[in-house]
Amino acid sequence: MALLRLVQVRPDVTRERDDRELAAAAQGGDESAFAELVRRHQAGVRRCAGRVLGDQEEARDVAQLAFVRAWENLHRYDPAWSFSTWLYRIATNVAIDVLRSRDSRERTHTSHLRLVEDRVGASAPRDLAEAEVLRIFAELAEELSPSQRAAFLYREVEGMATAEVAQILGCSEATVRNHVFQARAVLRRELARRYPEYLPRGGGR
Amino acid sequence: MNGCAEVQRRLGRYLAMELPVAEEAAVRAHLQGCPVCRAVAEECEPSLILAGALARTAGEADDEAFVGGVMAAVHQRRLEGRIRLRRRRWLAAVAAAAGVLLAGLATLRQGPVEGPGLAQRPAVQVVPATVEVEGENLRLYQLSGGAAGEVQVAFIIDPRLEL
Repeated sequence: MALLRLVQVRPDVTRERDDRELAAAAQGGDESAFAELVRRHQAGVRRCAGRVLGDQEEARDVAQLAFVRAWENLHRYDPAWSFSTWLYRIATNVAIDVLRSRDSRERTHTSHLRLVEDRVGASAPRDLAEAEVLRIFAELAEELSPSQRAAFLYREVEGMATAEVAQILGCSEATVRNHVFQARAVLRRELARRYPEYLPRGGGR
Repeated sequence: MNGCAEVQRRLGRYLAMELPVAEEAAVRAHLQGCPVCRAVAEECEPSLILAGALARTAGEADDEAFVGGVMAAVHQRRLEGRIRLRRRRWLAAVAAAAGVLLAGLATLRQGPVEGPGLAQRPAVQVVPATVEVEGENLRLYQLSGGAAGEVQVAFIIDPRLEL
């Protein structure tokens, strides 16, 4: 006779607290909960800021400022939003402000040189190729507005849904589509003009 | 959605950003793992070459020093906030004291009232006025004296500092 045994499943008390729980604790002044949120999201925020700005050092400062602003404005965080979306929105605004206040080409050019120099040397060839990709994107992205650049990066590189990009940029989904279409058109044109060797033989549209 | 034919059939709508979220995610996942379909997509939209190459670049590693830097900045902001709050309370106390002083001066300028009034009071008020400001005791002393009828006022925030 088969013996049926009821097994009581204990709730997993060691379950990781999710972002919203941590955010709620941080809103109550729990700094360790906020530190855990920083730990979870730091890599993503720094990576996105770096891609938007094309400068890793500046991205680190921007990411730090974004986290501090998040801490200061935790009382405004609405748990209806994903915490990461809210955080990326703050970071993107800071990065876009930096882009707009930059005295553009000269500084960017210097940072790109530094980026390439940093990665060349004892690194493997893969690193060189990576630096080349970053350099080319940073160069072509100079032709994009900050919003077009951010929309393209979040949608096409980070793989976020249009609705999430709209929340991050604080605009409608139609506006996001418009930014992405324009960014694609500019990148297509500049890629064909400056780096035709990277294009497929058909030459695209 | 697994088949290449199915993905390529949806490619136009995918590039036009017209697919529902779930379908879009499925096409995207397929493109990441299928070099043939990716090549087709990149031929239609060459900017995807750049997007794909960027997506494959290494991300940022976790950095505990960065977390420490953020939390140090948070502590600093918290400290600054506390100092600002104390300064605001202090200013509120000063403002309250100034208000009491002005009110006293205005009363004096109105001159003596009829009957047993200010003229018959002792020159120095012994009993101090106390004003409560945001949980802190402000003890106000009003000392009047001098031939010209000057009024001197001294106040302390913490009654324990009283001489």
